Amino acid sequence: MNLTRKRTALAALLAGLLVLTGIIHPQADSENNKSFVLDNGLRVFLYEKKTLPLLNFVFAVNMGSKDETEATSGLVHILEHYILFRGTKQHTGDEIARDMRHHGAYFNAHTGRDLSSFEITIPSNHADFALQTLKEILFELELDQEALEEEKQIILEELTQLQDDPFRLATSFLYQNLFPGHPYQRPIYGTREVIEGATVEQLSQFYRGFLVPANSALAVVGDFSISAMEEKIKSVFEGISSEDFTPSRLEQSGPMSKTVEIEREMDVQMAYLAIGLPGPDYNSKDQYALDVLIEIFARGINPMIYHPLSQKRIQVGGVRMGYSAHRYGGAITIALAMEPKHLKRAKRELTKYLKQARKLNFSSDDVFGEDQLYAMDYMESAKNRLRFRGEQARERGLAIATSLARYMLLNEIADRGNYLEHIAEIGTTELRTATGNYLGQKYSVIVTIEPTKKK
Amino acid sequence: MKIIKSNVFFSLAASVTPALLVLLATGPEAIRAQSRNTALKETALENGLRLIYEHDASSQITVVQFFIKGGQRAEPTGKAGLAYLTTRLTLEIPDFTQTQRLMNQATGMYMACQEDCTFITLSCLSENLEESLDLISKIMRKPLMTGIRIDRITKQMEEYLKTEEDDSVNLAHSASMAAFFKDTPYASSVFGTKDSLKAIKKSDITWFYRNFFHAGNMLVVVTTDLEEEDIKGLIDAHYGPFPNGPAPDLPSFTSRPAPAESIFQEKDKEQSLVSAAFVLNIRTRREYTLGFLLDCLLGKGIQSRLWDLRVRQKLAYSVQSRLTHAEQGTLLEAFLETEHSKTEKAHDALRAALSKLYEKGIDGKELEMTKNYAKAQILRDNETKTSRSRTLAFYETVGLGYTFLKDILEEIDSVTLDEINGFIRSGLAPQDCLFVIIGPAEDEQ
Repeated sequence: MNLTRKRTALAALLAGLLVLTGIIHPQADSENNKSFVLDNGLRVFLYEKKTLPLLNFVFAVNMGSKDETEATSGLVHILEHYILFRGTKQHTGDEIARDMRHHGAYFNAHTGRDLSSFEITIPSNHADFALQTLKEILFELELDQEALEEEKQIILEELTQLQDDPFRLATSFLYQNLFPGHPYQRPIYGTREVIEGATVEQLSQFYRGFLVPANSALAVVGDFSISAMEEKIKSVFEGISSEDFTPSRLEQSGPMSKTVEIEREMDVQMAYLAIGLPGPDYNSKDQYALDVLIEIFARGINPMIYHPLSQKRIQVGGVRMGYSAHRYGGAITIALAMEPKHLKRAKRELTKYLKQARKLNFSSDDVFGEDQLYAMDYMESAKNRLRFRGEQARERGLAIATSLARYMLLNEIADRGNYLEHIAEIGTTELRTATGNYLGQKYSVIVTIEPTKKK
Repeated sequence: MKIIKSNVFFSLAASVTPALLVLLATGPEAIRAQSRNTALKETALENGLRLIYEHDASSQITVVQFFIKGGQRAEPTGKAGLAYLTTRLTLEIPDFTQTQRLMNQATGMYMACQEDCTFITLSCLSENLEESLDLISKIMRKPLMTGIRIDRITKQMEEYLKTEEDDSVNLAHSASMAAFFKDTPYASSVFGTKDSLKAIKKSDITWFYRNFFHAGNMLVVVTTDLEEEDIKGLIDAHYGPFPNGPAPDLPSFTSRPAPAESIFQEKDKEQSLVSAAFVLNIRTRREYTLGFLLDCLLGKGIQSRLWDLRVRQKLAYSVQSRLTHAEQGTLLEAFLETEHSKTEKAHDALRAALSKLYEKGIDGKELEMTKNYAKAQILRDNETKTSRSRTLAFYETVGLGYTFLKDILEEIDSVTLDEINGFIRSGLAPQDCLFVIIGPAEDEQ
């Protein structure tokens, strides 16, 4: 759950989807970072970042909406809420929350398709408190039907809120149709029916089945010393057992077999268009080309995706395009807002453009002779921007910790190598191939939201 | 801490980034020691342009913030949107070659307009700073103000306005500002209105540019891993030629009392937004600190006062407060979004929560808890070069002084119980509260 709903209009439109693939190399310990695995299977990554007197903890559990069925859709989300707010065997939810605030902590949790994550950012002198609290809320949970009924009502409000936000609603529709027949198609928030009928016994089953150290990872980023933090983590988490745990495994999501179009009306002034396409998964090598393509099409001072629209004099209020890599599949999403009169043409032009995008020139090397003088080098520009964004990402402790936790649970490649070297190796051939394979796919999901027609 | 009247829509580069989780580590050398921030330095160019420098070696990027005093407050009556439009025009890239150069450098540009200033953020790899400054400074010095460009940006602004109004939280904020600051420049959206945009002539834009875009009215804040002398040299080389001139006088005004009646705006949505707004009297650092503490106390994070409306009364998923600080008045809003059949209950519960706070104040324990949360929040809010340099410039522009970022933690620590309770008594009187409700009409509830 997000405690503070982002209100930055278009910036919020695909906030959940625009997370780029976290790429790290945990084997490479140094004096500033270290990774290790406790005897009970808990994976740990420590990264010293001493720019501010803060600590960022992200505890991720390999439990997401992928682990639900139609009959349990939403239980992971409820469990995440319950863990965060409803107390333990020793303390009530209120007591824990007050303690957190007293220590200046920000704490939050998120349910995703693959993982659930619990995060704390706290002044650096409170490491012991943060670790003890994480352990308590995660491994000493007290489930109670009355508290569950209370939390359900808040979750139902969250579901209702989704219906009023055109971009979030559109994104939700995209995901429900991008992965036909795969658990990823189920909504992270769950269904109203399952939430209303959820019982403590059901939650308990998920809790016992997934909340074990061997199914989890802890990343700590901030102002600490590696050896001291390692010792603290071992003393807090080593005693927790992981016996009887068997990790589950799913099939990769398959291709789409038809285009899905969804039309909605809403009390809004602008029209909203969202397009979704299946993308490469977390461990696919195609992600590097996709990262470059996203930069080319949607970022920087001259995003290519504006071209077909501006040629037809269709003005749009900012395009957001993202690629989200999950363990068993990926999603490419495009969303934009425009005057309602432009919606149909924008949809037509954009879908046509994507299908033909492999013919585009991405680099000045794609053209010859004098034309080279006037060709924009989108590819080099995108690569430079990825360098810039990588530097920028180093400043954000919580984002780094999230990335590390995801990496520890989702990565299956023994040696990922150097991200920027992979990016540097991408040429126009790779870009065209990726464009054809992913952006030019035959089938897609298209969601349009228009202002309610006047009666 | 502050609400930036947004232009999240205009971003010449990926400045409006989502959670960027690209981590480019490859080996031991990739994750390296990072030093804490060093002291701030201030200097001024010969033309009067003030430069605030902060060294931060945590990443190899440089962020340059240009703050131009004026903003909405400088807009003549009937010309709302002029500050935004003019600033946006100063970033129009004139030709293919310059577009290509900026693309190659991966330079990010972002702009936004606020009540008392507009700002332009330039961010780039430090190795590209010189070339980026060379290009941007030339564009800013000789902006393209052609009819075609003005028309295009004006149309964009109309769309931004509509998108802004599609969001209930923004709509409630605009309604509160319009009510408390009626007939002042703060009353409108930064994107103006359809009529005000139509009324803006090219001569208005030229006037605004000439009066406000000069060295004496601008402030530059640079946060970088580069050395101070290098930065001074670069800023001097590229912004030294900017004309000098005095900072223009800006109008002073005060807010109006809260209207007796609540404001209701119909929106056919699943949820209603219930908002309560107050204007706080904040002129000094001390008052700002108290306002910031009150904002945290009221609606920031778990166990804030509004949290009870969520966790016990189960009225909403989203409960929040926000502080919009401007020189001529500060707006504090507390709001929640609730399923529309609960609108009345939510309204009563919000009113009761605010009344209780007003009548009983807080105790020492809650003050201590709020202080701890607020101090940590300052650190979190200012973790990145972009956010920190923006805060420095914001404090300076609204008269609090950039050094306030260094001092605010101590300022928070020194707040006494009597002070915060006195501030609550002076700011949250029930008769000074404006309720705004956005949602379905009553007969539909």
